Amino acid sequence: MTKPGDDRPVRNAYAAYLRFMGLGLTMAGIIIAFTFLGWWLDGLLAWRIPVLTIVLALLGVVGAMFHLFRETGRKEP
Amino acid sequence: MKSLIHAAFLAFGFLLAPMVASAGGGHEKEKFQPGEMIMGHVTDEHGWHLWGHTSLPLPVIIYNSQRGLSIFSSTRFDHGHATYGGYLLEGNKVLATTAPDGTAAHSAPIDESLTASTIDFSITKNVLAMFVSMAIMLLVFLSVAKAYTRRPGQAPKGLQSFIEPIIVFVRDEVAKPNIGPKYAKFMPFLLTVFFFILINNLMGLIPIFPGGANVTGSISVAFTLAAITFVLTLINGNRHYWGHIIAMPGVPKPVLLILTPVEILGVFLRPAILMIRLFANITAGHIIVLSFFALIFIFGEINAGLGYGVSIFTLVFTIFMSMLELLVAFIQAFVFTFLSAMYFGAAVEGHDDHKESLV
Repeated sequence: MTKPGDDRPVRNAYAAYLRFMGLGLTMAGIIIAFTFLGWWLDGLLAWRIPVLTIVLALLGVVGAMFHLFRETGRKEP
Repeated sequence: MKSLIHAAFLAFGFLLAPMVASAGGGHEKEKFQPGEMIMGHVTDEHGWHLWGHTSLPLPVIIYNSQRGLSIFSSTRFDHGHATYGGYLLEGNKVLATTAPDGTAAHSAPIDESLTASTIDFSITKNVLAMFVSMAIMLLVFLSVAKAYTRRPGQAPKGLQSFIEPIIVFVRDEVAKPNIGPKYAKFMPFLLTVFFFILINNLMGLIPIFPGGANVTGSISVAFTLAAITFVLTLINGNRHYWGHIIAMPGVPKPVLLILTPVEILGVFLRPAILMIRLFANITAGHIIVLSFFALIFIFGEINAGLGYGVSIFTLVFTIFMSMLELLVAFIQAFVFTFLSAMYFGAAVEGHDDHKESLV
């Protein structure tokens, strides 16, 4: 506990872990959103092979990994 | 989302159906529907069911762009059996019909185009429960605030000494570590959202009136709370925040092609997850407790003695689950506030507050 007027941030142990609570769902959300976009575009193009669904799903996985790296690599404020 | 829950309930109902069917054993008795009972308690309703056939009537307020405003008591619908004023209840949804008043609801034709232009502003069970929690919050915080002006600089007393540690906790453990030096302007929102969620979660655990409404487990309430967090994050986002979303510094251009959509998606996904977490946790807790109660009646239909026997186990499990739900009520209020503070922190943090280290 700090005195009033003391604006220094307080450090606590669990805050570091709570920061990553939404990470798993966000990663899943990114992959789903990318796949959905690919599926929708494939529906418009109507190609024989759903290339965009496959490519964008894989890009979604890559994007989710980037997101993971960015979130975990960020220094605590 | 809602249809997903309905699907889950249908599956649950199908699992239980053979048990209930065998319980009936040829008798033409009204069968117990666990799925309906649970859904009825978890979702919002027009009117507040108290006990047996007694329910508290609530005002139904409907605006239709063709018919104008209509206000009447929810008892007019007779639990969805009757039509009134050209409207009928199907589940919890108000539909427009052209049938005259008093027509049996199941035989009344539904007017699709009129229904589409109907907006339901009714004071439903959840709305009334929110009014009650607002009244509690006003009572508590006005009296606490008065105590501070009446006895400045003195040690807290009574209700004040119960509330003060929680306020200090939100300030020192949630706002300061996550937002940093600019925490003060977010404190009113963080404290309001914390106590609103906490009080509604706790009220939801009380089985009798005015508790028992699943307010925070309503996706609309969770959506509204998350939307406020979302808008506040967008408004307070500084150049540093937007710069990192649109073009992360120190990242090669080809990588940005993937990273920028991911970051923009993240802006929307974060509040969406905030909403789903609150809604799912609270609703799941209610469903578990209600499922235990449903077991009594399912077994009771097979044999009355069996029902009494099962009720002992049900009681033990329900007490255990209620204790767990008490913990969840605090945790979910804390988590929502904590994550909101984290998003505000990301939006307002300065240039030199942290260094990026990507890959």
